[in-house]
Amino acid sequence: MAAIEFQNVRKVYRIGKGRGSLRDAVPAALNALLRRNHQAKEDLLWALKGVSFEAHRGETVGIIGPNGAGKTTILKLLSRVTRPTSGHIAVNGRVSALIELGAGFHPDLTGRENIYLNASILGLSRREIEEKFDSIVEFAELAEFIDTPVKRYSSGMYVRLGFSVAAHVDPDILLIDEVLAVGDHMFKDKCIQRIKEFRNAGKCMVIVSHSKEQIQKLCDRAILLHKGEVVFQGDTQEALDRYHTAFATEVLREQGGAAGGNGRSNEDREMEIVGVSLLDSQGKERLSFLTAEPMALEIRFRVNAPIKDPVFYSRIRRGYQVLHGTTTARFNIQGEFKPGDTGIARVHYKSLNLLNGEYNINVGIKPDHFSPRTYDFVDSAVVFTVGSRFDQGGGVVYLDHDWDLEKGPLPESR
Amino acid sequence: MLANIRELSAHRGLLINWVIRDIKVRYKQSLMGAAWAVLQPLSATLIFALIFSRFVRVPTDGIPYPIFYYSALLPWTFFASSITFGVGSLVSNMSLVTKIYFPREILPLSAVLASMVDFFIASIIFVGMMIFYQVPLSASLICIPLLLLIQITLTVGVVLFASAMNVFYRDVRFVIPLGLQLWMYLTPIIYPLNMVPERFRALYMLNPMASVIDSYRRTILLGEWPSFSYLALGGLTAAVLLVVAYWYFKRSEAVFADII
Repeated sequence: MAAIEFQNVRKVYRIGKGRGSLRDAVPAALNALLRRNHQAKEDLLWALKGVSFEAHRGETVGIIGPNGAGKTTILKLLSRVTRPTSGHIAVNGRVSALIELGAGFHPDLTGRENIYLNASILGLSRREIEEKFDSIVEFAELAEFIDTPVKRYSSGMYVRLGFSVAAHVDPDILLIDEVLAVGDHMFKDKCIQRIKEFRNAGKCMVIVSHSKEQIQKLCDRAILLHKGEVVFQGDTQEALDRYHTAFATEVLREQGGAAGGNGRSNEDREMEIVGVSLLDSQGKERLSFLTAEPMALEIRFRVNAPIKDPVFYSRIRRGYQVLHGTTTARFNIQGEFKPGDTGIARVHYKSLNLLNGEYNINVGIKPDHFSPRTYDFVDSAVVFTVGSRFDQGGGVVYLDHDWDLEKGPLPESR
Repeated sequence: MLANIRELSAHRGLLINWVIRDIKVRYKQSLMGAAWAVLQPLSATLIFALIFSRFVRVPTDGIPYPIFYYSALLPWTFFASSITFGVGSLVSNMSLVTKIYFPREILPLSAVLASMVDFFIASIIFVGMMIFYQVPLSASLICIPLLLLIQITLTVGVVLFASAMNVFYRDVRFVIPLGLQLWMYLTPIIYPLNMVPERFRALYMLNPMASVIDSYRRTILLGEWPSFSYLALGGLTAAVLLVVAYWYFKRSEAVFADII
């Protein structure tokens, strides 16, 4: 028996019109009675458009996708906070959710009082709470402050207490929504350790996260959602690769908020980036490379206005630090375009001299090399990983090198 | 309905903890703490006793003014504060309601139970008054649990209905204080029941609070038996309201998280 079963689940939200105050409701009710305007002006938002999947015990499933894809709706349906519009959901076992840690905390109550309250909201009986109380406090590292009102806690302490309570619920099915985005590194590692213990104990977990690293580390399988539909489900790496290539521009434009075309809609841009990919020496799309391998970056674009000599740029970054930037202007590459043209700009990195780690690339198109204005840009358009050999060194940059060691007298000149 | 009640009973630990939370939160950082539970009905009693004994003379069947008013204001405060606290209980905890599942009626119910604790604290003063005014104990006191039961049935019904309505229409929060004020005048609190003209009596008694409040006075202060026919009418009204309200609440519950 599957721990979780979704069969063609659809969920619609009514947005905007109708409810909220009697002033709107009375005329609406009258209209409905008179059968005028019946349901005409209601805005419907399909959060899920027929989603089917299963998850079994001992399995950790990641859900990825751009904002508004329906990830959180799935978690809400699983935790029974909301119900599906149609379709069937079966959940076998006790569900606990690590969703918004400390949602049930009251600032005026002490840590101790909040533990009792929050644990009972999450479904623990009084006896269970008493049994686990010491362990909860110890895990949260808050023994000294347990009788202090939580309003005096730092945000880190707040999160620690919230996670600790939730992690002690001992559910059959654990739902995790971006909760590890906060907290210090030490505690984050502790949380991840705890989540791994859950997995080893044969629990079923569903994780929603924007962190590629966490999904990679924790999930056996992933589901890629887009606009309420399952685009792909299966191998975690493949799902992540698809996520970062197929939706790269669109996704990252949404995620970045400000990133992308200065907030203008597609039609307003003189030139727009429609896709970004990384290719290996065979011309195959890839998101993981080896140190010193050749790598090509492809920027696919569309032109909406007459443009002369646009400048394309690519900046390889680790986190927010730019490691290498280059533009077509440095190579004196020119071209003239008219509306409706499409094309591809490619950077050929002949040898990827980067070491082990995760990197991302910003791309963009500008009127000229020095202009602060862009026709279009996408920050973190692609995220890729590099793997290196032990003998290639440590750090960020790969410098081709070797060592030798000899025994003998020191030269007198130096 | 039965399944709902079974689920609620499975979550009674949460209900208890939530009641404790409500009580603690209400009086934390207030200097006088639980004394407010007593002060609220007591101060109203003093004002009414002063006004209606000196300025406007209201007949009280020979009952001393302070205890005449306190006997009615005590249960009324329980009723009114349950509703006042309960109506916003879902909306003010929306961060929970939209994120974690539990039977949502726990929130309005704990508002009622927390007010009941206040009610019991304030009742201590009432016992003191009974001793002071030398009110004799009579057999009719055994009716009190029944009166409380009818009152709580009605309170829970109103609170469930109002708190669920408030999720959809925030106007409810403003309607409630106004409604409670009007309701108080339609209940024999500042005047005795026998001032209500006989021909309106049946209609007047449709209000369960009317027969409940009148019965408290009758059984405790006068040692009389309550009018069981009116009490049955009030009890039936309250029970029907509770069933309908609970049905409405559970039906609305499914969409709370989508709307809040």
